[in-house]
Amino acid sequence: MRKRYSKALVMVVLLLVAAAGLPAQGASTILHDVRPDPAVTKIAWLSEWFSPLAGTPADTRVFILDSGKPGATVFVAGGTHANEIAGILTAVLLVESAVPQTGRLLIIPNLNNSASTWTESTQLPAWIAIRTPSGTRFFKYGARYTNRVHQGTPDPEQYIHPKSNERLEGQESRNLNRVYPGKPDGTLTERLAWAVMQLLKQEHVDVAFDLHEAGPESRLANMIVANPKNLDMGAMAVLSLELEGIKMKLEPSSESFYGLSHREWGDETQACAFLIETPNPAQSLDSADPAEDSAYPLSVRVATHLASIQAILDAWNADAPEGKKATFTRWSEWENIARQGVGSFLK
Amino acid sequence: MKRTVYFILTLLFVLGFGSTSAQTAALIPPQLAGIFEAPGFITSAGQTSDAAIVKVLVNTRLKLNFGYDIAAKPQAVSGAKTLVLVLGASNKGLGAAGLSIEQETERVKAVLALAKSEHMRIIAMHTGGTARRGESSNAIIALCVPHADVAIVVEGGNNDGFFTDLCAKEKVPLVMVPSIAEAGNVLKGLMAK
Repeated sequence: MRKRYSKALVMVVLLLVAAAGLPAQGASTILHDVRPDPAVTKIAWLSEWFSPLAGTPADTRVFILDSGKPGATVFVAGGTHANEIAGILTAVLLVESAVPQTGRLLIIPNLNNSASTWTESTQLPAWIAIRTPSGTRFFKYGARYTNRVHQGTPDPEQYIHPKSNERLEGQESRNLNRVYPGKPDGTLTERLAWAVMQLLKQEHVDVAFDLHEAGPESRLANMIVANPKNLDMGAMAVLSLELEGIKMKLEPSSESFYGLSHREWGDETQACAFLIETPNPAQSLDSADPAEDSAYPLSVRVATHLASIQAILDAWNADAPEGKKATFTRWSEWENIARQGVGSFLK
Repeated sequence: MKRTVYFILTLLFVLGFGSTSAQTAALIPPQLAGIFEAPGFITSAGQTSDAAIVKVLVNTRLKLNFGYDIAAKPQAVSGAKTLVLVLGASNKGLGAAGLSIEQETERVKAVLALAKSEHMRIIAMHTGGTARRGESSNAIIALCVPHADVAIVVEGGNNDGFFTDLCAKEKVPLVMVPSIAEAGNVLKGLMAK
């Protein structure tokens, strides 16, 4: 699992060959192995919402599943941190299996594509191999931060968030989940954040999910973080999940710590914003296996993300008027994914 | 299928909370069943967001229509006959409320004093498991539990026997429950019909 397979090398070559045939705006990005279901009605690039992102290593694909019927617009992002693999695979699974009955689903499996281009430790795998019905597939295991080569400017001594004046370590300037709402003329990471904000606003997203992972001992592991305006939806979801045997904690966004998705997406757009965290052992220990750990298997983590999204959307639907509901079919069940493995449900 | 399961779970929730099941009734100390009166009011002790979960459970799911303010001052609580204190210190919650742990402790003391002066009954609830234990949480739990008529604790939060020992020392009935949902069932069973 953790070796660098020769197949992975072949895959990289194939992806580079495939990328050569892409339109200009995608030419310098990684083209990840995502195999859309026919329910995907359009594959866009994030730069369509903010054109200066075109041609940069941060541009990334947006998969749109439009039911053609009135309903909520739901946004799901994996790969804000490209080493938080369960979020990426959850988003890929949705692209490959979700079918909206009402409303729209907008999915970005690899939100910080630049972060996908490097790995922070030589002990960590560069690719995760997953057995699927069509054979073994490889998913990039990247880094937490934008690739410094792509950032366009050296890390500052300290990163100072413009809204809060919070001072963070300099490398946090390359952490997508610290720089929202971004800047149209900022660093690559800030422009990426700005592009996401434009998408959320222009598409009138109603419910937005940012899928993450944390070390198992972290306070954040198995947690839903909710913007304060939609904390009750999170509470409803936690109660529903408990009934299914899934224990999730709940926290509101901090009132003083800005720059995070759940805070800025919820504050600056109409979206109910949530961040979901599952435990990834490789975020505590480089030598741990991010996929096959017996205590925290990847399939259970993906299943937990999916169940949490479903529970939150159920809470949304409980109060949403007709014409604003979010309903999906062929959404694999928690137990099945946890038991059979995420690969069983990928194409 | 998923929708069906959710529907069934919701139905069970609704039906289960419509009346106290035998399993829940067995958890409730007989001398306490039905003696807590409306109106009720929910606040936190320590600014844990578990209070928001309890509020949704009590009001949205159980339809008990309690007042709620995670950082209620004494005047907001005045007039209630049952006070639910959701226990657990949260730095994030304290920050959101603009309170230090010392200020929060003073707020809780003031609410407890008001509750005592108005002869309210007090239900102390801990639903956050081990995540809502630790030095600050323990201090605020130790402050509140001696004033409570009953403590309802979701099992994970008492793995070290802290609540068992404290409740025994303070002679406060302790109801251990396996889940937050069951904590709600117990609370409903405590309320006068």
